[in-house]
Amino acid sequence: MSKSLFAYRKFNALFIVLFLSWTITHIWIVHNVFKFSWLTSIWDSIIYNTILAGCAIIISLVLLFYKPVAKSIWISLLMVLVITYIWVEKSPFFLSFVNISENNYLEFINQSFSVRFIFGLMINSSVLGVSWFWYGIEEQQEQTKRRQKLEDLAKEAELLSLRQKLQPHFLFNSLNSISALVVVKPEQARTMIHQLSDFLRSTLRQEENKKFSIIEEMDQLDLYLAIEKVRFGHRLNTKIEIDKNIDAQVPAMILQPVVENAIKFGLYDTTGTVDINIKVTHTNKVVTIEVSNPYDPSTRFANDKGTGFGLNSIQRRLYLLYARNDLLQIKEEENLFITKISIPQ
Amino acid sequence: MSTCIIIDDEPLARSIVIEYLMSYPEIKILAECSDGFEGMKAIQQHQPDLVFLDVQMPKINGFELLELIDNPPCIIFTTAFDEYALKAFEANAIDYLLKPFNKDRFDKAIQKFSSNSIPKINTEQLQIPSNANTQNRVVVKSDGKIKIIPTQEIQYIEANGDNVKIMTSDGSYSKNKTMSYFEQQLSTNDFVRIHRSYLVNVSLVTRIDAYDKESHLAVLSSGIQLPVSKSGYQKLKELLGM
Repeated sequence: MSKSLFAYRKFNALFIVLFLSWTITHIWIVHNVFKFSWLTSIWDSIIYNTILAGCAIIISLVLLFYKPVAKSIWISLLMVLVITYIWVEKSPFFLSFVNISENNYLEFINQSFSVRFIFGLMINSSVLGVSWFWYGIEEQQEQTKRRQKLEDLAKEAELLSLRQKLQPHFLFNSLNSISALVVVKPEQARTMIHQLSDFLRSTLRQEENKKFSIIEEMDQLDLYLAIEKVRFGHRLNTKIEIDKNIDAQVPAMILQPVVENAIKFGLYDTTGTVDINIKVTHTNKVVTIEVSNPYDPSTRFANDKGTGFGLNSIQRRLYLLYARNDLLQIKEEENLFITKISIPQ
Repeated sequence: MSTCIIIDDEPLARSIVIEYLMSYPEIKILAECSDGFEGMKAIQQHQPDLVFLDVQMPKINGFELLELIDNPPCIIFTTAFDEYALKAFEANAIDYLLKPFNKDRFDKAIQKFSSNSIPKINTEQLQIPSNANTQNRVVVKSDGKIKIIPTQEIQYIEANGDNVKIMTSDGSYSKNKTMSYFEQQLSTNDFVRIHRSYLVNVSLVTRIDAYDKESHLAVLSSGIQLPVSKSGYQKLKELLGM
């Protein structure tokens, strides 16, 4: 439901100013041009114009509640015609309540009938036109807003689901490791439970669109790597290169999936030691994160883990957040698979 | 007395199975393996009665490993992925333990193993029934070595008695499977059964020549010519949008 035109203070002020200035002009014309007394001129102007203003308000309100489609605009025009006619026809009735002594006044009313009718038609049609466009624009704006809201909701839902898909297997395997440690190394089991809890808590941060400092995210990543090292300790080596003074913001949970993907790719594509190198640089208002993992080029195409869900979902998230498709790049160097993501600042 | 092998790429995951097995002195652990290659070698070398098998592992996964073994032993899958459960039971696995599993659940699995009716693993059943889940690689054994062939490198597959011959640009490999197995496993958008004995990689077909009234010849980019049956020609035409 749109708001009535008269709900806007500025519009009301304009309406009153127009009404008063015309009423005064009207008085002046009747007095000076048609030589009636001031009293007669004032009554004539006030009665005719007040009723006309009332008609205009009615027309505008009718349009607020009943918006004719473009095809049936003639119905509105007909309404304007009828209202205007009634206005010119019936206004003299109200004049009979005040005592107007001039003899030729009745004659004046009869003679000025067509002029008044045309004037009233002009005013009322203008009101019709203005209301028509105004409410049309309002409705369109509301629709745009609604659509925007729907899109935002869909985006939010998609981001959420993309984020949640990254969790369960990691969680179950970690729990399994803890289950094994409980008997043999209870202390280490407890440490891992705490690391896992801290990690999970941070992944539950709801504000998906909020950005976090890269240092915060790297701490996050350390937790994740600590857990993965308990699981694959004998095979997994990680090296992180980052300037601790970097002051940059990155979306939550974007770093970890890239590293997770690299680790999986490395672990499942080779049988030896897996060296994961993570390098973070900040230049030209762009934070670049490069993650490299070993892989076996001979089974490259047979293995869908490297290009499968992990990277696709990261690409999709970066697109949803930055509307750019070039923020995720991959390259292959000898036996290294390098994933590079750029985050604009 | 029975024997077993544990195959899992996570040392702690193996240690939990070992710990649970301590209450079963009658089951002897012959080996622990951390990837599919090692696992396959160990199974062939030791011929165990029972294998605890993880699904996701380096190089080849648990299912691919089973395909490569001639007389598979009893299998208990241990994995965090519940999406393979159906596939595992279709393959007559004894049990499917979802990580993390407790001792009670483990005991039940061992009971099933110890009971008289031990189902033998059926590798022919190791196939996913839906097309949505088609394979993107085929694992074969050649001269005692394991070879992983990406499906796009397969030119065609030919029926060869009880086996099939998988033809790639660098040689042909034999695998103990049926044509219909591959027809189901490979993406129907990439591979077409053009003849009772031939399954061809459509992207490599460069030409289709008329041969006689009933049949045609498909010419591959490598120059190889394969016979096309009448129904095969229909399928090929449909897929190529002719």
